[in-house]
Amino acid sequence: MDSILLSFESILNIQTILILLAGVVAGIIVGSIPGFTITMGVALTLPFSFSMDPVNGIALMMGVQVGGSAGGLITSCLFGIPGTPSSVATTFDGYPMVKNGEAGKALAIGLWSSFIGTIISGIILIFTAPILAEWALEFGPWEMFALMLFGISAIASLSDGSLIKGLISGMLGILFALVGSDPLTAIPRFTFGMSELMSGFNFLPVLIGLFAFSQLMSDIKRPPAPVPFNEASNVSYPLPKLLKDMWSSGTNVIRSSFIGTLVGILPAAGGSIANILSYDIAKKFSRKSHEFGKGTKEGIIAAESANNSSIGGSFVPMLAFGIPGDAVTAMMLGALLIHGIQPGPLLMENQPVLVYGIFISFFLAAFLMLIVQSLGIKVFLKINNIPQHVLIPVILLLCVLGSFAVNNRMFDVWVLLAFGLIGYWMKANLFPLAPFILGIILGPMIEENLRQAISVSPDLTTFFTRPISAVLLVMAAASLTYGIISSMKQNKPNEYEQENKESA
Amino acid sequence: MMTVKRDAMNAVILLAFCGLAFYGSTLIPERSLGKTEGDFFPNIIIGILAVLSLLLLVKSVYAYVTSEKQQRTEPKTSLKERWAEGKKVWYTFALFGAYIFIMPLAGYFLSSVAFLFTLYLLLSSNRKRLWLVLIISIVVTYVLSFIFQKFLLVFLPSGVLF
Repeated sequence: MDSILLSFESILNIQTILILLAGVVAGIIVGSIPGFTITMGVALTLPFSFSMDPVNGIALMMGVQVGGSAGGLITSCLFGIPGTPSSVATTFDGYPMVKNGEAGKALAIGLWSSFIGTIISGIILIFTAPILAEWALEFGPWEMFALMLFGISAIASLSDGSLIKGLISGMLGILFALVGSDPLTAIPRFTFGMSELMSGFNFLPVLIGLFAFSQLMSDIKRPPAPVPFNEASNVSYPLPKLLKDMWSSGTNVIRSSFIGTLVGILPAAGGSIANILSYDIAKKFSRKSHEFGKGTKEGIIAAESANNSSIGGSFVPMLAFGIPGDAVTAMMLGALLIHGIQPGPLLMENQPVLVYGIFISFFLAAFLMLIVQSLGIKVFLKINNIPQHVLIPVILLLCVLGSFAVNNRMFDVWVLLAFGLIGYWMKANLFPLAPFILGIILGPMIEENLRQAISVSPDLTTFFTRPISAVLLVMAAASLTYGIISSMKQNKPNEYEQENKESA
Repeated sequence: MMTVKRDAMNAVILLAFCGLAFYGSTLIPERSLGKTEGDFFPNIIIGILAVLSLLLLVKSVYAYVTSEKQQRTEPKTSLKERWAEGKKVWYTFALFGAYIFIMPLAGYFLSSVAFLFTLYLLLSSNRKRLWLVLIISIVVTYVLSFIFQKFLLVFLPSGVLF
């Protein structure tokens, strides 16, 4: 109880609320600009979190994530362009509703669905994460290794088509994470005599290079289509009508939020899957399924409550086990590591104030998102009109400052450039980036647990004779097999026929 | 068909990378402190990466061999066209490299203003009101340096030439 009160004290102060507000505003802006992603937004806010205490740092990134997810709604509805991949299904009914002259209704319903979805997933997060973390406390290195392996098997679902390329990306991530001192014997590995590499590649320039720098380069090559704002659009909707609309779709909101949370808990199945899956289920359950795709509120509700609730879901494995479910939670784990906090099952026991602080800031971010987006919709639409050739130089400068700030040295800026090139090469050749970051985070943990387990008992069958470890290994194998099968199905008759469609 | 060829080339690059990584792992000294040495885990990962790269190579070669002859002889995008499509990206990479090379010499402020202004000229075809672009470059550089130096306590390079 004391921890909860202390957490409230650490969150409910003007400084933290302002930080959270800044995160939400930045998130909505990033989310509403086509071509920019939430992952990129979170990567760019990471450097600002250094000088903050961990609660504030995480609150800032959480604000960006929650705001970004809701920001994607704006362009999805008004222009039919998903601001982020997690708002693809929102366009199915959001855009037709706007074309029917109900822009205000589409935005209001989408926003409130996002809000309710976030709150419901937050409640589920609070109840499930501590139970799972307590259970995970019983784990030895065998179980932890199997758990990490299960986490990395998520690469199969993060691979977007080519499983081989996804796995290559993940292995590259692990390999780059091994540069530096060996955690058990402290001898240098892959440093090639460079003293700067003794502590390995810093997480931050690697991340900014891979996600922000490479994204900007892709935007330079293929600029996203401009989306002009029609000043005459009526983007307001009366609150009583809105509440009536939401009340009459209560079942849909709750069901979609549960689907979104569940999808978020599963490794790698994030907002984009939740968004489409929930839309599909809502359509199947609806008595008016023929209205889907023509501008029905049920479609927007299903899509938006699910993509936002997946955020709360993705925090469950992150806080309970220290396993990132997607690239954004991987960054948050990275931020905790930068602050010297070791994520994992012990986090709840050792840092209860921080964990409850994360819970509280999650709810607060949802409320701020609702207020900011309701009041500032017209301003965000105008920001959306800033041309890319103005935004890109400024963001690149921010990338430089963020990378330099890690250790006050130019070496990290060169690392940023190197990983920017690697990220661009990967994007151009359709290697997914998310498995790379999962590999960077989980690689060292897998190595440490594997080597600890072998040190205690060199008999490798121990991994299969311990029940939890065996179950987790079977789950990892099942996850990979599922990935292989779905990849084979997707690639029929020939993946190469798609020929470079997404190539940057 | 271009993706097939590019994948084959990527696989060869990755195999070469695996070779380099394996060479790196042979440089890791043995300490015999525990049951596993420092190169134990890296070698597993390098092995998996090499197998995956080989699979990619086999897959792309197989796709090429089994493809229709017509597809193989389809008109290629010329190097000139590909350069025209991606030249801004490579110019930006080069400009960025020059910027971070010059920053320790010229200092954060001068180099950053020059970088912002030049990159704007590279990305935009609009040549009107360039004085405004220069002023914005100066203001943005100053505001960001103020935030980072004042609030985040980051000491940006002041340069050695000036």
